[in-house]
Amino acid sequence: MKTPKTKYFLWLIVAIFAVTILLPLLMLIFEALFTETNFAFDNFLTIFQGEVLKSIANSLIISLSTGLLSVIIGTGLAFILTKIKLPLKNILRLILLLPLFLPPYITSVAWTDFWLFAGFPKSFIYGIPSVIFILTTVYIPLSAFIISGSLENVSASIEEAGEMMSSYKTVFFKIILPLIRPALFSSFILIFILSVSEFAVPSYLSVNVFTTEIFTQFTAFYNYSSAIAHALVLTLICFIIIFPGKHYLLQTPFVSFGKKSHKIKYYSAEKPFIYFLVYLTYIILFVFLPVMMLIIQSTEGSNFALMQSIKQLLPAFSDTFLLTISSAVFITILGLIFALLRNKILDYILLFTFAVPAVVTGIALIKFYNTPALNFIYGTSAVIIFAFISRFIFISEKIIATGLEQIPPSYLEAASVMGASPFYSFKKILLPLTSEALFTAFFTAIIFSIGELSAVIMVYPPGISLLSVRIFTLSANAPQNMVSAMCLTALLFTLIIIFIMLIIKNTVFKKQWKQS
Amino acid sequence: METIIEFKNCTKSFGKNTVLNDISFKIKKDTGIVSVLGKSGSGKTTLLRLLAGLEIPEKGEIFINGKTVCKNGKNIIPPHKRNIGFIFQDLALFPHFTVFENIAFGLKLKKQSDYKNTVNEILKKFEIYSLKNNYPNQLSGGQQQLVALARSLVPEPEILLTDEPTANLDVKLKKKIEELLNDIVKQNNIIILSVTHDHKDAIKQSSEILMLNKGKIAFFGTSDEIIHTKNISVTEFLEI
Repeated sequence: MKTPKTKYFLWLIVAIFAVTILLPLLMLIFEALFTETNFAFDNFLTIFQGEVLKSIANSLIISLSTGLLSVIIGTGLAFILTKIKLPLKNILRLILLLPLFLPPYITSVAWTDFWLFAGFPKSFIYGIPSVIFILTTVYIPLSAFIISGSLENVSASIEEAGEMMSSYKTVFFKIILPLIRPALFSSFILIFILSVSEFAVPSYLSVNVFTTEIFTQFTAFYNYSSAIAHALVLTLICFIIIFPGKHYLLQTPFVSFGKKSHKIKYYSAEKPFIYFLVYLTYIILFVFLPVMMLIIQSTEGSNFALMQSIKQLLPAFSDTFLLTISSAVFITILGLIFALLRNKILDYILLFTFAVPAVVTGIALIKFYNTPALNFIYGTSAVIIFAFISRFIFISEKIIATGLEQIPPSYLEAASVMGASPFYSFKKILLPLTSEALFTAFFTAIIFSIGELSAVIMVYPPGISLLSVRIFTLSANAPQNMVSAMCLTALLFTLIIIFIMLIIKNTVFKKQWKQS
Repeated sequence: METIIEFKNCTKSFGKNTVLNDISFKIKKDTGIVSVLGKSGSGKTTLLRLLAGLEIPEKGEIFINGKTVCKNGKNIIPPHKRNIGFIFQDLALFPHFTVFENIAFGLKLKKQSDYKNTVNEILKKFEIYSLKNNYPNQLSGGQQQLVALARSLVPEPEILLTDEPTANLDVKLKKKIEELLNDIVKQNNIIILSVTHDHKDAIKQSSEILMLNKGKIAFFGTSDEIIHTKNISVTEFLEI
């Protein structure tokens, strides 16, 4: 594939990415450190005031706790899912993932509905524990998914060799856990980054976190330099936490494709129905209950909240659909290019764009594009696409790179010996064999983009209506049943897209060659 | 007799590891099957890959039919123009193509108009016609081996490179593949360079044997010569 000509072309695309997406982030950091030619020390002084420090502490408590809890519970669920033979396993796996497909603010509305309905004290509902609880329920599926993939990669023979020499407890702690350690660390870091960027959930539950502080400085006080200084501090905090585990994050595959060349060890539990019940209880409590609450709340009163919400959100459907689909196309193509060119520097660049919190990405794009010369981009939906690319290209590239790594080099060599040009090999061998990875990357980009709020709320231009932004802004003054109805509508919208994507996957991508 | 393959002072390294060190040899046309023997890591597969053009030696030259195919670290003739067939160790059957499509792949690229007839003929010859619409994962190991062999032979190469073609096969299938290879040599007059671990089979099957040891040629000669050699590294390997 990589002839000199194609290589130059691919690097040209990378250069365009660097100028349009990386440069704004770097410029923001430069601007935070230097105002004109002097170090902008004053901007940082405000950060060390009581309220701001408290918001930093809140952000850290929430994101670290969410990361830790999600990984612990996710590991348990992943183990049950991967190592114990359960009935309806594939359906359970799909339902488990559902909370991840929903924008976090929908989950927060659903849980708030439940807590209000069940008479929980408001001091709990509008506090840090509830934010941690909601984000944990959102991100458990992510950790369970990544860890489950890693557990599948542990060969049965390794576990059995261990069992010949010691108890299963020892095998689990001394063999399995060290083998899945990269997945544990990368899940934690991934969830940390997503939680620290989270803006809507803390905001909805009136918890002041650092992202809301930055948002307030920027949009309410118009104190750009202070917001930028705050943004830099948040970015630095993220980097400090990510740095020790960066190798794990770069090396762990997020998705596992294809058939395994080894056997997976299954454990015959004495009472498998207990594990099934554990799973079922989890799904009822954390997946169905919140959705049921949305349905109950939105049908309360007699003002047909659901119909009204559809009417209110109607303009946002087409914009959201078109923008998330087009962004996902760009993200997938760019992800493929980065995966084909894969090298350490590019890996770090993508990790950098991902590690920058979403609010900071939003500010960076505004500062860079909101100039007379570049207003033709700032005033259009292109800037939203840039925001989505910046946020999710890292995840897409990792998914596609995992798919590419599973193609034996001999396939391309065989094609080359038979006279296939690099482009022909790419078209006929590489693309079909990575189609599943490309589809997964595309699907992931759509789902994450639908739920994205923190970056797009900063940059969305007039005339463009995104579902996440519209619900968030309307919910400030809407009655509770209306908020629930809007969330239910958004949930249905997301589910319809997931349904369409699954149909596409099962028809267009149905490959006889994948079935044994 | 004319030389078909010539290696002249070829050296190939991967990082600091020199896999082939200044090797030179010639193979004449009509030699038939040449087995490449050696311990693991001795450079057997690398030798085939150099000849195929999938790797380039940093020093030395390789000639095919008297034409320089690579020289001074540069490929002069690309792999697909060397008229070589290659059966990879993992067979490299394209999993998303049927048996027919796998075999037709090379012919389609050559824009051969009657490629369908050619493919059907070889499918019948190899007794795998009934499997033409199957995908590789629906075939047994032996059937996959036959498809890989058919795919590499259908463009009518002058040289066929095989990397452990009968490894992991049962005795019956192994015999069938070996018979096929012998027939191919007789009927098509091609050279087969075959990497193998099984020296007994190599001695039985091949006209010539090339043995590598630590990146150097330890022996190059006929089957009779290798049995009577007094070269210690060869006798140790052959356990004579």
